[in-house]
Order: sequence, then structure tokens, then C-alpha cells
Amino acid sequence: MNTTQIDTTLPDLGKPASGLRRVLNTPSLLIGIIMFTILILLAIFIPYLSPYNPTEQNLSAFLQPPSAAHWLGTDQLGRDLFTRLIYAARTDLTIMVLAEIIPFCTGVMLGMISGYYGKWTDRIIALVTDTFIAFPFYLIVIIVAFASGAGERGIYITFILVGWIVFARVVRGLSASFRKQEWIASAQTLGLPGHRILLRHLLPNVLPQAVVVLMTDMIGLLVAIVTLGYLGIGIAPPTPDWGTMIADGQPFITTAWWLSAVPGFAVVYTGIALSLLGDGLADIWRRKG
Amino acid sequence: MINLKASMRKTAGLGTLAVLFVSLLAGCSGSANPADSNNGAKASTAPAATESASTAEPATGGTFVYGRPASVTSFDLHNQITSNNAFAIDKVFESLVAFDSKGEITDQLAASHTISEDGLTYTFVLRDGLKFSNGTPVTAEDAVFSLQRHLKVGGPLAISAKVDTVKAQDEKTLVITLKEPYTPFISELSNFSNGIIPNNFGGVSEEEFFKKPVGTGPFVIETWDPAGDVTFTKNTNYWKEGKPYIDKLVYKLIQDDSQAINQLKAGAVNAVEALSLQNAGEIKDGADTTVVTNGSWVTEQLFFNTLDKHFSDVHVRRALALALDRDGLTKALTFGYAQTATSLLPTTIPYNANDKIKALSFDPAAAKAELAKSAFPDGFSTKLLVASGNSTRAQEAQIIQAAGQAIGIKIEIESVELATFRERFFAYDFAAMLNSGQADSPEANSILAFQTDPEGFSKSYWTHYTNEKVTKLLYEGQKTADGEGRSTIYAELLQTLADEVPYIPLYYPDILIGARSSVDGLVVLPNGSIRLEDVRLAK
Repeated sequence: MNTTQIDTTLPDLGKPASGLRRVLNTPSLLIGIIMFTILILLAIFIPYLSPYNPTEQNLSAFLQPPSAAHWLGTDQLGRDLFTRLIYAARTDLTIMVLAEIIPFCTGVMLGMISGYYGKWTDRIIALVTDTFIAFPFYLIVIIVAFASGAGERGIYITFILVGWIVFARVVRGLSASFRKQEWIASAQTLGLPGHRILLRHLLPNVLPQAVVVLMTDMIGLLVAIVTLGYLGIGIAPPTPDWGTMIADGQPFITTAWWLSAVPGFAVVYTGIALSLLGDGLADIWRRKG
Repeated sequence: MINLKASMRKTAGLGTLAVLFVSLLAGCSGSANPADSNNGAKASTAPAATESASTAEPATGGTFVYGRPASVTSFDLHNQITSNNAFAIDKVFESLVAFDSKGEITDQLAASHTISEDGLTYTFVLRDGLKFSNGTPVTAEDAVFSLQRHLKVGGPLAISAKVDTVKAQDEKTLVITLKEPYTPFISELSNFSNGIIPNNFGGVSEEEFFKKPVGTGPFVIETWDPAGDVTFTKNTNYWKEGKPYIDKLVYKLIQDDSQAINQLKAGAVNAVEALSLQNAGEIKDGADTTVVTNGSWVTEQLFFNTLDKHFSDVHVRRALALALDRDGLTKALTFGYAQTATSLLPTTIPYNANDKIKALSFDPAAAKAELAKSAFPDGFSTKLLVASGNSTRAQEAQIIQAAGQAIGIKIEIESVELATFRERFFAYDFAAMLNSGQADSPEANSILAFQTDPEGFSKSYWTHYTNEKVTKLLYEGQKTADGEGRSTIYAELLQTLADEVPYIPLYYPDILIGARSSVDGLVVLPNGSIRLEDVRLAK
């Protein structure tokens, strides 16, 4: 990749690049979008792509190696691995996105309030974030999973509890630095109410950074979902999930390695796609700024 | 909480792992079919035997290292039941009688034994020249003391016969009298918990004795870490002349399954205990490794809580039994190292009646019809309790889940950690669970008493299954002398269980021990233990 070329062509444009042009000029974002789109399309259209049901067992066709009928072979219960892999993407990605919504909103709000108002609000919110940070993330995940029972619920509860912190911290820092800038000061002198300044002026400025953090945070969340599944306290069978698939394939690591390796690769693939998306978005916004 | 760097590192780690799998295993063919092995494996020590027979002098000496998943925490034979301790205790202590690899009762410390016609008097004559590992001769008084202590302690494997007296008739003769006949008694005496210890603990305190136990077994403890390894040396006073051939035996704690396999492959251990079914094919096909196996006394089962709202209905239990393809389940999960179960008792246990009784076999239409007769004709939702960390059980649970779904029973799999699992089923806090029943001696009563006596300690294996007819047959079987009559009783009892299904026997998994091909003479017992007296290590 020739980065200098991009650097020299950019100023020549003379005027702000269009959205599409900007995307095309950011290879990491472009690749990220393509990778993620492929995954999403597969996940959406898998019922039409595969003749198999992800949970239907065929005990007389267990542990078959890859073939034309079963592209990635079958698992120990005779289920088509490829079908399960893509259905698992549905499960895991849906949870990943849903579990981020509430933490993202609360995190950004609390971060802005904390950073903008400072003083005692800041101190209280900082105290709470610091307290949560003192606990290792997976410890909290596992405690909640045990308390609430295995399954999706534990993942949602844990993330509502602790997921907002990373956003709150990033947004707080940004808001605190913006607070001292002139455009905020002028909005204040115009007599705009606090909530208006927060939502109309501060929010658009902290949001890009928060979205970049969101992308990378989702990778962490995906790994957590998969880890819980692997440990047997995540997604309950028979719902396909990459974590349980890795665990199910583990005993056959030396005889049918793809059973575990393929879902593992799927996690890596998704992780790379999200990283590139996050990186690319950050690049664009940095250049814009 | 999660920054970009950290999460990238995680994903990168997974990526490397995936690549590693590929590069490590690119050479392995994926088509290795592990499902064709049973007979071959049972004779798997044969080639090694011929090899050593061809060398003029048998190799003796050396250290045998045995990889085990749990450490030895106690040698107090009267207070233990779990295999981690049992299979160490049986190396140090021996009983009057023993069972061999076929599960038949043979004399061990006794040179002979006689049972009176009325089944009330048992007479044992000890072998000549028997000595404890410290050189002290073994007398009938030692046997009296040992059995008396077991009677007093009770313990998890308490002597269930109504013993009247235990007396030493002379130096060598032990006489036990019972208040009423109890046919399983002789087989129970073969249990490790009826090993012989020196009279009065050889003059030391109880606590001291079990720290440095003295017995008649082939091995003596050299060092012992209750949270780690045990090293045994051979008992130079052992009554089997010249045996054991090996000098040292090490029980090496290897908790992780795959690590145990790797150490076996690398030759860091000579054998590993409790080889998992999934790994058996690989070990059997390995160039330097082999699988030594034996049919087992274990019955893998799906248990129902008969106090549960749904499973108290016999039609519900029968419907699920009819919906379940036990043959398919066994084939998919055990790779030829198990037999599909018909009776509650494994085929290696006398009076198992596998060829006589009729179990409910896979028949989806009949299953639906059976459920229609129940109080829940439209199906219901329930939970299946499984201990996490056992991959075979996790798969089993999914097969049962699918079977239930086919007839309208929605089963949620509840996977909990082992300690929680035990706590839950001891408290009857389950609707259905996966677990196994195991005989402690080659005796039908061993499993049946544990699983059908609602008044017993285990409350019909925590199913709370209560059937007066079954209980009556159970007691009759205990009092009836071996023979045709006893066979009829157990066949009737087992048929009743098969009809009322308080538990569905799924399969009888073989005992699998992974061993280096260089190991010769290893005997696997159907309880999962091994005998090492005849083991020779090729140089």
C-alpha cells in the first residue's frame, strides 16, 4: 500500500471530499465495510443459501469431513458445520449489537454530563467508573452469569452494568476539553440551557470518537460472548454460537481440527472487520477535523 | 474496559491459534474413523506380549508413571468412595477376595473360602507366609480388626450384610457369621474398602497410620502430596513371589485432558487413566500408544425426578424413552467403545438380563401415542440438569433435547458447574439429569440397591422412585442364593424398571486406559482401576 500517494492527493482536492470519495480513499474502512457486509449478507440470506437446519441432528452422519454436500463437514451430532457457522453469526452479532445499545447511550450521556458540568457530578461518576474498573471484566461477567443463570440474559445484564464505562471515560475527557473552548463559552453567553448545549453542540462533537470506541468495544463484547459460550455459561444449546462450537469441536482437535478452527476463524474475521471499520472511521474524522 | 490494543491482541491470539491448528495438523488426515475399534483394542496388549516373550529375559525394574485427573486425598479405606482415592488404596491394601478383569471373584489374601449351606457362615483361610509391607506376618486377628473397624465406621461403602460375629478361629482362619443370608456379601468383600490393615493400626494412632499406611498390597507409599503426586515403591514382602516387576509407581496429577494426552504421546507418562472417548481413536492409532480397555460396570443414564410435576407421570417418562434413539446416541458419542444399554445393569454384571428384558426402543409414533396418554398430551417445558465440562454429556443433552422436541417436550439444558450439580441433585432440585451409575463390585445388588431403594441413603439415586414390588424383589434378591431363582428375581425387577423408566439406561461405556505400546502386562479392571503386578516396561 502506498500511503504517501494518498497523502499527496488529498490536499490537491482543494475542497472537502464527498462521503463516498472519503471512504474510497480510506482503504482500511473500505476493506472493513466489505468484510462486514459479506458477513451480514451471509447471515441474512443463510436460510436461502443452505438446505440444512442448524439444529437438526443426523446421528448416522456424524463427524463427516468436508465434502460437496457439507462444505465444512458435520459435527458430532451430524449437523452441517457451515450452516451452523453462519447461523451462529446471526446469534452472536445480534447479541453483540443489542447489548451495546444501552451501554453506549448511557455511557455517552454520563460522560458528557460528567465532563461538561465537572465538580460533584464529575466526582460521583468518576467514583462509580473507578469502582467498576477495579473489578476484572470477566470476573463480573462470570459472577453475573452464575447469578442470573446461563444464557443471553447474563450477557445483557453484565453489559448494562459495566459496558457504559468505557464510553463514559472517553466522552468525559473530550467534553472536559471542549468545555473550555470558545464555541461552548459563546453558547453559554447566549444563555442556552445546559441540556441544549449538551445535545445540540457537544454531542455531535463527541459522537465520532464514541463510535470509534464502539467498534473496538464490540470486538471485546463478541469475544466475551464467545468465551461464555465456550465455558458453557453463554448461549444455551441448541442455538448455534461460535463459542459452543469451539468447545464442541475441542475433543477432536487432532482428528477434525476444523470443527474448532473454523468458528475460531469466524471470530477473528469479525474482529478484523470491526477493527478496520473503527480505524477507518477514526482516520476519516481525524482528517476532517 | 476494553481498549483497541487489548482486543486486537485477543483476536490476534485466536488467529495465531487457528493458524497453529492448521500448520500442526495439516499432515493428519481428517478421515480417521475412530468407530471401528472395540475388538482390536481389547486385545491390544497382545502384540507387546509376544514381543517380550521373544526376548529371553523379561525386563524388570523401572518406574511406571500413571497420569491421573485427580489427586489422592486420603488412604482411609473405610471412609472413601471416589476413584481418585480408591485406585490408590487398592495398591496398598488388599482384601480377602478380589475380582479379576472379567469381574469374577477369586481368592486373594484368603487361600480358600467356604460359605455354609444356609448362607450364614463364611470361613476364610489365609495364605501361608503372608506379610505386611513392614515384614509383620498377617494373622486372622488383623482381618478381624479391619472388618470390625469398617463395621464401626460405616462409611460410604458400609458393609450392608447384617454381620453377627467376626472371629479369628486360629492364626489363619477367619469366621464371619451373618444374622440373615446376604448373597452379595462375598462380592462386597472384594471391594477395596474391605482391605486388611494391621491389628490396632500396627500400634500407631489412626491418623498416623493413614499418613504412612502399611498393607499387604504390591506397593508402599514413598512420598505423597494430597494435592499432587504420589510415589510408590514396590513392596518387597509382597506375597506374589518376584512381583511387582516394576520398582516404582508414580501417580502423576494431570488435570487437563489434552495435556494428559500430550504427555502420553511424548512418553512423559506410561499410561493415563480415564481416557476420554473422543481421544481413544487417536491414542489407538498412535505409533507409540495404545488403548487398553475392558467392559465396565458403568451405566450412563438419563435420570428423572419422580417427584417432578411432569416426570412423576409414568407415561411422560415412557414417551421420552420411546422418542430417544439410544443406538444412534451411542454410535455418535462413543466411537465403538460402548454398548447400547437395554437393562440397568451392564453386561459385565451377573444377572444383568440384557438378553431377556424388553426396553422401550426408538419409535417416534409410539412415543407420541404414549405422551397422549399422559396428563400433558400437548407437551410441556422442562429442564435437563447437566454438569459442565463433560463434552460427551453436553452432546448427549442435545440429543435428548432434540428427541423431546420431536414429541412436543421442550427441554432447556441447564449446564452447571460440577459442585453445583451435585448439590442440586442431592437436594432433588432437578427435573431430569444426566449421570451414571456404577457398581462397586461385580454384583447386581450393587447398582440395584443404590438405584431402587427409596429408603436407602441414595433414595433410588435421588429419583425418589418408589415401587413396593421392586423393593420387595430387591430384598429377595439379597437373600436368595446364587442360581436360577436369583436370576428370575432380577429379570423381573429389571423388566419393571424398563417399563416404568425412573431412569433411561443409555449405554455402558468401556473403561479406557491410554498406554505406551512399550507397556506390557497391564490389566484393566472393570471398575476403572488397574493391576500392575505383571507390568513390564520394554527398554
